[in-house]
Amino acid sequence: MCLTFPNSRALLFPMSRVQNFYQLPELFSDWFQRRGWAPHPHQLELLNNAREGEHTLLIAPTGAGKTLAGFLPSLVDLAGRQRGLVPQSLHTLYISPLKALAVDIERNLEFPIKDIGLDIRVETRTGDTPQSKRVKQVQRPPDILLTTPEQVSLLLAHRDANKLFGDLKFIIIDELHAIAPTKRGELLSLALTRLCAHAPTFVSIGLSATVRNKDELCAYLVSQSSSNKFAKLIEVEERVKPNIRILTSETRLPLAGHTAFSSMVEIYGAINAHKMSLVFVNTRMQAEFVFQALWKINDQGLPIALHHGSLDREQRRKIEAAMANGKLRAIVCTATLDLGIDWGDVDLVINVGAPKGSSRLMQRIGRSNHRFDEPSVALLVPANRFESLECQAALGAVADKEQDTSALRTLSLDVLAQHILGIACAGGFNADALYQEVISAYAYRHLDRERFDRVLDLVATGGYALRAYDNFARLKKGSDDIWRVSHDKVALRYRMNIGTIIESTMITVKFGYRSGSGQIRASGRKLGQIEDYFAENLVPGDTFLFGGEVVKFESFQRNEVIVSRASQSSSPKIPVYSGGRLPLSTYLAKRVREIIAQPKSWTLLPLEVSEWLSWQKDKSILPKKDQFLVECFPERGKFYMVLYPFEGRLAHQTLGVLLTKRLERLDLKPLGFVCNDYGLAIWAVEDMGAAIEQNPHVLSKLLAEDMLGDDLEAWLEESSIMRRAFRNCAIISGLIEKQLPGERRKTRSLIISSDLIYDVLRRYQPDHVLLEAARADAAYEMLDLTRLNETLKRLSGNIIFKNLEKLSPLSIAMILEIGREAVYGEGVEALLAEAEADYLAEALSSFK
Amino acid sequence: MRPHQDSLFHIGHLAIQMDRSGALYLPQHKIMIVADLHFEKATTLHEKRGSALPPFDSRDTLIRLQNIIKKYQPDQFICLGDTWHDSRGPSRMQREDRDILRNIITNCQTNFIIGNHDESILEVDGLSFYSEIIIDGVVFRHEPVENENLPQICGHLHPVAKVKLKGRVIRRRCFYLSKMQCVLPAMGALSGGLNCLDSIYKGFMSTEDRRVVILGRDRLYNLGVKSLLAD
Repeated sequence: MCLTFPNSRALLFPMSRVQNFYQLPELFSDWFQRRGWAPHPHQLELLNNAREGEHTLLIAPTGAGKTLAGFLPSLVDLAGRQRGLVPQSLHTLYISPLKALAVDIERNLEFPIKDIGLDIRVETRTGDTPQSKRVKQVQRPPDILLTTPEQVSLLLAHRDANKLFGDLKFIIIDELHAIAPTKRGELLSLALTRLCAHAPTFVSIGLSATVRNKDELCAYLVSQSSSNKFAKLIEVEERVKPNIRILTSETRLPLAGHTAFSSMVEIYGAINAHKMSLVFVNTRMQAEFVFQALWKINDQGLPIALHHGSLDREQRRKIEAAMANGKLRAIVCTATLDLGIDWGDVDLVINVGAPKGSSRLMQRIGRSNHRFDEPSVALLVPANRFESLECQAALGAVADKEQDTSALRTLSLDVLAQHILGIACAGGFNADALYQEVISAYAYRHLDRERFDRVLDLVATGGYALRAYDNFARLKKGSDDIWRVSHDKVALRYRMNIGTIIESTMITVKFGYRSGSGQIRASGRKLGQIEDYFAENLVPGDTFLFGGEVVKFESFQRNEVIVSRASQSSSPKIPVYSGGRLPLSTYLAKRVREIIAQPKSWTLLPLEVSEWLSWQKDKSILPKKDQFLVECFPERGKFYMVLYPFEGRLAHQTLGVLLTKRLERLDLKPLGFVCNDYGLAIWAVEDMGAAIEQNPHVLSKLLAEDMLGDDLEAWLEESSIMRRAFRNCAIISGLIEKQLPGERRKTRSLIISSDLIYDVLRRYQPDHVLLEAARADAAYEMLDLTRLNETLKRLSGNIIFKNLEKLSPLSIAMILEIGREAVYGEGVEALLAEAEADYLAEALSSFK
Repeated sequence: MRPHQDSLFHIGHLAIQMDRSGALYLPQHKIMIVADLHFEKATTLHEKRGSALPPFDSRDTLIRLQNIIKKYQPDQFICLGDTWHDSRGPSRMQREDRDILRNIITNCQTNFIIGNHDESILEVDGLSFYSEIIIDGVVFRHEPVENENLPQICGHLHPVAKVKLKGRVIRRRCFYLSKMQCVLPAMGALSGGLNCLDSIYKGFMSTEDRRVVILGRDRLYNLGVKSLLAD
């Protein structure tokens, strides 16, 4: 999704092919002609829609000139305005989910603006924008502002919001498919209603990759209280099939792990054979690893760079600029470069690790060859044998153009709380009017008044039925029926805390130098940020990998981590980022199961992968198409039960909650579980396999479809899933603060864990609105009980059980899966009792 | 070193019983000891910072107190400091909560020790505050003192122990004891915790006979310091 004017054939259509029933202003048609280009039909259609005041969703593959299409109406309108007037308001608001994307677009917009000779001021505003520039942007707004959803909400909370947005003509939302299904999407949909109140006549334009739920996206762009509830849809078909291969390596694929270490030589070879490659990985940790591994074998000194969200802004900009200028041969990158960024002539996309669903894969592949009419070239690199199956399944899904994007989120009450507080900061609101405004947002169209009032109460006084914080309420209603913030501090705190992405506290990493007295001082060069808890575990002298360099931890100074350059260490640590720990669905379960069940199809797989599957057949059982395999085995002092229903992550997560509850009741003391799209693994203190062998009824009891008497609700309230959901809701709604102005990092004893708050709240006000919000969030991670019941019914007749002495080949990928859920039950108590017994035995022996 | 089979230990001649609620009981004297109740923490934070945490923490803590009293029927009570989260706490406490507290105080002789959070409170229900209390040669005070020759029992630090057992990380409130010292866990419903391996403990804890006693669901667990993890 880029402008790619120079050298791009994306825009080069022979003039004769253009159906010219939409009129471009002369200035623009001349420019197209001068360049020897012609506009795409969909670009003209979008322009025409916009002129008629129609909101439009444009769905088009990469390279189809989607961004120019989005900006064309705005540029045409700005070109035609009267000269000499100093605008008080923004003309166009461009919103993208990524900071990097906004910067990229600014660079790409410069070209047509200069080349046509337009007098248009374009600026970017992201979390990285310095405070001084932000102030100026409000005082003297640019014509076009490129920004992110959080920044839009912040601007709307500004007292001058009405002036700033009063004359807004266009809103362009890029990568709508990525924003809309998230809480950020809900925040943005609320922001749109507010923008609509400031500037009722603006035209909204959504740009999206191909999705399953087009109607929902069309509705997202439009006020649901207007007569026409859908934006117009313009769809551009993909013209050519992408060219995707799975990398085959000389080295055998490992059974587990995500480093792709065995394929580095081949990856390097592929980079060498292409002009410019993007190497996508799934986590920041992988990015650091792959980057380091490539440089170890980079005999030719190819310019290979690293780009991920934790690196310092300056460093990221440098890399982005180098890429735009064609100075790089490859970039190892995470999702920060995932969405439509185009900085050069990328002719190969390498995807390391599981492709995580066909829609996501297709979007990534779209990064190469931004030429609409040429095939994209991509290389899939599985990091282990299971991923090899996933890659094979993904090829099939892409060939069948299968879309697996998720449905939009709706009715998140924590996000609504954040929005209400923001509107109050901007000067206040009438509750009736705000309610009407809120329900015009697609995500909140079904919000009832009672819930709205409870969220308002939450924001104002905490929402506590028995005891309200009246004296120091955050919001107060005036005699004019307008709700306002009670104190400036409230607004300040809101600005510090806004956002719907929950991240751990990050600490800045800086290089230090040794002063005359031998002490290490901060020198100023910022490397980036690492997570709080990783930093806390560092001991001076520890080395770790950061930004592709091995650095040595020296000290903490003023809440910063000071490091020095280290000589190559044999085993530097790699920072883990919780952002990278998020479990991702692959949506490929059905296809993977089919491959496993059909040994004939194994010929497509690398030899070691088919060997591995045969090995599973020998050591355990290879489940046939309708079979539901359950394995039990001991491993490292714990007892495992691994189940393979192939029903998708949601079903498995719910099954994990149910089964641990039933294991707890059978006194088998479960400790935790983990699941992915293919199955789930549960571990416990007691030997579950032995219990099943002794009494076969145990298994049928565990998997019985009748859930009466399971008391699942109470168990769920205790679960890590609910506790996590509560924490997120508490932060987003502002109950727990992320940071306070000028406050130093606190000692642990002062931090009130969200668990304590959760427990107290649950005991004294179980119907509190935040608990309701948390339950709704948890429901996104699980199936409802009716559907779980259906799943159990389907599985129950086909269970095959295998009690093993050690882990099976298939189970390895499962028990190493990320995103473990802890069980809070007797199991933990049993662990503590065991540890105590060890301690006492040791103490006793030393006593003798 | 003597193994510790149960929750009873001795400092000098003083027998001390640990309870899984985080309280101590002196059976020879029928005295109950609790630390860091931090009453009205939520409302204090609301006044100071505008936060709106659930204002039910005092009630929750009071119910914990009632349960311990019911269990041990002590003659006396010692609150080891930071009973209120700030000095205006008593005036903010709700009537029903004040009644519960008054009821406890009337039925059981209560001794408040001054903590850093409530040091400017002069009296509550006619009861004055002590800086420390000595029983059988053992000093009871809020904040531990370095270079102290007498054995001391204190609160203030909110000790928590973190262990990793079979891959599972467990972080819980605990008693932290050695031959000469015992630090009580905080009893307040919204009190956070400070890891036992924090360097601050090194200033006063003797190394002899050092261990933690973790509060479990139904019982206490003794663990050596060797097995603990830092935060």
